[in-house]
Amino acid sequence: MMIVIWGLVKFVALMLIVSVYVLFMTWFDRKVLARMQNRIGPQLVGFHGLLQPLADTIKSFWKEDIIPTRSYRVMFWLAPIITITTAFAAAFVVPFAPPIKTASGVFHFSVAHINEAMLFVFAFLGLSSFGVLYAGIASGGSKYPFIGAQREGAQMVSYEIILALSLLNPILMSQSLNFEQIVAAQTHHLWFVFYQPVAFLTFLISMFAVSAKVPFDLPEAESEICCGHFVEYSGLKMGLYPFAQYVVVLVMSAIMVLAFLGGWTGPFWSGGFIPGLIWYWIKIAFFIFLFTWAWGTFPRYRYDQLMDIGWKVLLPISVLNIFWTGFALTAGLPFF
Amino acid sequence: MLYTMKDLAAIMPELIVAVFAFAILLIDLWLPKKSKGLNGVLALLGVVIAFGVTASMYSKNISAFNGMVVMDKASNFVGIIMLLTAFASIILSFDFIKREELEAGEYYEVLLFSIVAMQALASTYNLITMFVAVETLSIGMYILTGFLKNKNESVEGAMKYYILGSFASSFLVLGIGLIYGLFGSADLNIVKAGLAHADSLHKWASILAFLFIFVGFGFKIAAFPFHSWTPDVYAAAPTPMSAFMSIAPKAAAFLALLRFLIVGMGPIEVEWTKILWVVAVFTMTFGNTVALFQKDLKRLLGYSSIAHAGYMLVGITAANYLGYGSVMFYLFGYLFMNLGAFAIAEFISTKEDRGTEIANLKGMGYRYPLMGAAMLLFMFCLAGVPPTVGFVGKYYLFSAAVKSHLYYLAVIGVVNSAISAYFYLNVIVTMYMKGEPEDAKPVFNSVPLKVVVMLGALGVMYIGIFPSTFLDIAIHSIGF
Amino acid sequence: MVAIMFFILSLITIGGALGTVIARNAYSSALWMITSFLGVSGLFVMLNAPFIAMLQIIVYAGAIAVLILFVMMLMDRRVLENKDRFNPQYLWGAIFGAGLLADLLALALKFKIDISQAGKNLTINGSNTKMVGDVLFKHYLFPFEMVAIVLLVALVGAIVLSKDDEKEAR
Repeated sequence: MMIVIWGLVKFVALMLIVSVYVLFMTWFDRKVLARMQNRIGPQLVGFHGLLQPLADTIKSFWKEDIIPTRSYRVMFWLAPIITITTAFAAAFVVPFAPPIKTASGVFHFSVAHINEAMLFVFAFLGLSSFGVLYAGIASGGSKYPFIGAQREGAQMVSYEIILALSLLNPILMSQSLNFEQIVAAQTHHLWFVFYQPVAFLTFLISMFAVSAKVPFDLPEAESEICCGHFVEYSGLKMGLYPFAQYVVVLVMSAIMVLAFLGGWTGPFWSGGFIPGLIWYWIKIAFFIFLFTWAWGTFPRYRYDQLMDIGWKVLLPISVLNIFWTGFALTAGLPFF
Repeated sequence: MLYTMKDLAAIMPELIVAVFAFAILLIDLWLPKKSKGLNGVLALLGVVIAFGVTASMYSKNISAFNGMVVMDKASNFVGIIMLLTAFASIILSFDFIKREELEAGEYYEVLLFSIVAMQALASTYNLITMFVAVETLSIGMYILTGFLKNKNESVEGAMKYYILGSFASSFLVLGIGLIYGLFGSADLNIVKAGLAHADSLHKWASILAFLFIFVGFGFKIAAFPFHSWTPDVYAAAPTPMSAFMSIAPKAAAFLALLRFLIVGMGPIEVEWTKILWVVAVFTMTFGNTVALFQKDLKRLLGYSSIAHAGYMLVGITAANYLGYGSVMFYLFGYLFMNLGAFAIAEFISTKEDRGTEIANLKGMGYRYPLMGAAMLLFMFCLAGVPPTVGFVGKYYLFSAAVKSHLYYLAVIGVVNSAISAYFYLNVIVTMYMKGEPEDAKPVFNSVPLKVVVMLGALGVMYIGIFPSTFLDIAIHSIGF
Repeated sequence: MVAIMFFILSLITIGGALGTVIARNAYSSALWMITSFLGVSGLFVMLNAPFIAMLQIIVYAGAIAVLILFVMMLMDRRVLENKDRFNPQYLWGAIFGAGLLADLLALALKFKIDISQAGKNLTINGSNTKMVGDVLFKHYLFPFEMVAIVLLVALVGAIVLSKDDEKEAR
């Protein structure tokens, strides 16, 4: 019974933390982008516009909710819900702090501590593309959502492979699918980024593609297809798509840190809960900032370029890299 | 459990062919359009090296990969048959795919991969490996059948083959599932041990499983109720591939069937010989009677291959080592005669239409005396006229049946041979005695093709006159 | 507790399967199918097979269902919407399905299955990930590698047979 209660507590905590994080991410994004473009950004509501996202949320509650007459009504409702649910589900298994050893065992800071955590994240990130696909379908034959949804589907299918292949290297090296064990393996060695620079880079690139962020934000390319899959959405339902995207960004950054950058270990002042927590979140924050940074500075790739990068460059490189890792591990090379 | 070099040695021929297939896959990417012929040379090289390795490891007896693969005399013998077939079909393909403008590395690559699958099928006692191998080789064959994708006939043949083949495969996997459920293992040796002490329920269930699995193998060897794809597919496929798939998959499937029957189903030999008796009779009779009415050479050869599968089933039905060995020997001889006959079919074919009607052979004996003589030899051989290899092979198959007191079966076989003489001789009559056609079509003048025909003729004659060495090897190849 | 979980999951699975068959709209059929896959993966978790459960989601729901949706998106939606739900042979399917159901029911009644123990013997330390690896890469290594060749051949063949010739494309 305890396990259920603790699960519920963690679940509620996760929802709250992630929701607050998303709110302030919108503020952060706007602020950083504005700075990059020599503007000031939100300024009026609260201290440096900190309360702007709250105001926006309240506003979106009162907006008119338009459902196109030719849409499939049920699916139109379900699509954003699927997107947000799967994004949260992916966050379930990600630890949000280093585990604590208590008298009765180890306390984990993830809603569900399972051994196949890595696969779980993959599974639900893969499912999250359904929300987008159904958004395109349910919009009732509207062209832009349809194109956007198709792009999302193709992009997800292509880049999830590369994501998985690049994560296979840390998995092989730590011989585990469990995030905490992967981190533990990195305390014995150096961080995996030093062994696997190629996998790190391929993961970095596919990370942007899977979360459909600039420079791979083709599903919602504003300047080409307006907003892609959520053109027909309005009000709160529209808000759920960027919301889910921010959650995916968080999950991606967390996986990046856990798999390649040693999670809660630091170059100095590590060990213990508080230093671990701080190191962990500093690293995650850096990658979240990286997403915003790329948004402000990169142009968008063309669709054929996206596919070429995926299938003709990253995929062969990832496969060769796995061969190399396997060889290095079997041969017992000194640093492996 | 760690695998060692010993395990790799057992799959050496497969490995070599697979490596060359992968090499073609990669090299083809960078080959310019005009030097695509290099793919064929590479494929040929791979087959030759694999042949050398198989021959040099002939009398090895290795069990590898946890009993999933074995290398014994039988697998090597069949491997030699398959590699010889592949050798000849690749040579036949050189000019053929140039003429059909199909110069693609994929042709050879799929061919090589299906050879890998056949080698695996021939060298395993494990039903799971067998199933995977059957699937691989079937998929390869579907693709090769439909390779002339600009011709509707070819696409139609591939589609038929694919649908029927999937149907047969599903039966195969059902049977394997039943066996696994009954005996808790897919390894034929364990199945044998279990079946030896089985109660009657298990026995009847394994007869059912045998029937299901036989559907799968029967489809591959074109036995009677599962033969219907054969003429269509042989007529539709690119001719070198018809030649290939009339021999190599059959050889592999026959050996797999032998292993399954002798080792796995050994304890219920009485039951399966009864079933095979019926199947063999119907297969022979059906193939030969329907072949009487064929107007097209490739379709004729399709029906004749059904009939020949029937003859070979006689050898299995005999259920003695003479029978099994003579099946192997017959396969070896069949390789030369059928390859030669299909090569002649390619010789008279044209690019625009199929051009393999028997009527097109009119006067060929006089216009192309050498080719005509070779065709005469192949037809005599298929009909089983001495002193060709066809006669020797049939003689031993039927004498094995007699040895097991299956007199009726032997008599039916002989009668069938007599029927078959009619349509084989009809071809010869067309070649020599029907006069010249009004508009003689141009033939396919290809030097590699003629080489294959000559080699085939030589093989048919040589083995026919001096069979004893080959017979000895073939009969001693079945050692399980 | 276990029984309640089991019934919830079976409800999702069976309901999803039923929805797949009787949904009027092909797109919602696909959605029901995904629901059913999720239910099945939950059942795998209950069988102490989390690895298979995850693969069920990744491969079936994540990849295959996406491809199915993709194909449907490339078709004309008016064609899809006006399709009959059942073909004339549905009665045969129903008969076979009923037979299978009766068979399974008979089996379930004959063998009392202890759900909490099911699948335990196929795990190492409560998870079947290592077990799957052991079986696939040690015991069945050779067939496993052959399967790689099957997939490669099928892939190459599909591309070769469906590719337009360059001549026609120009």
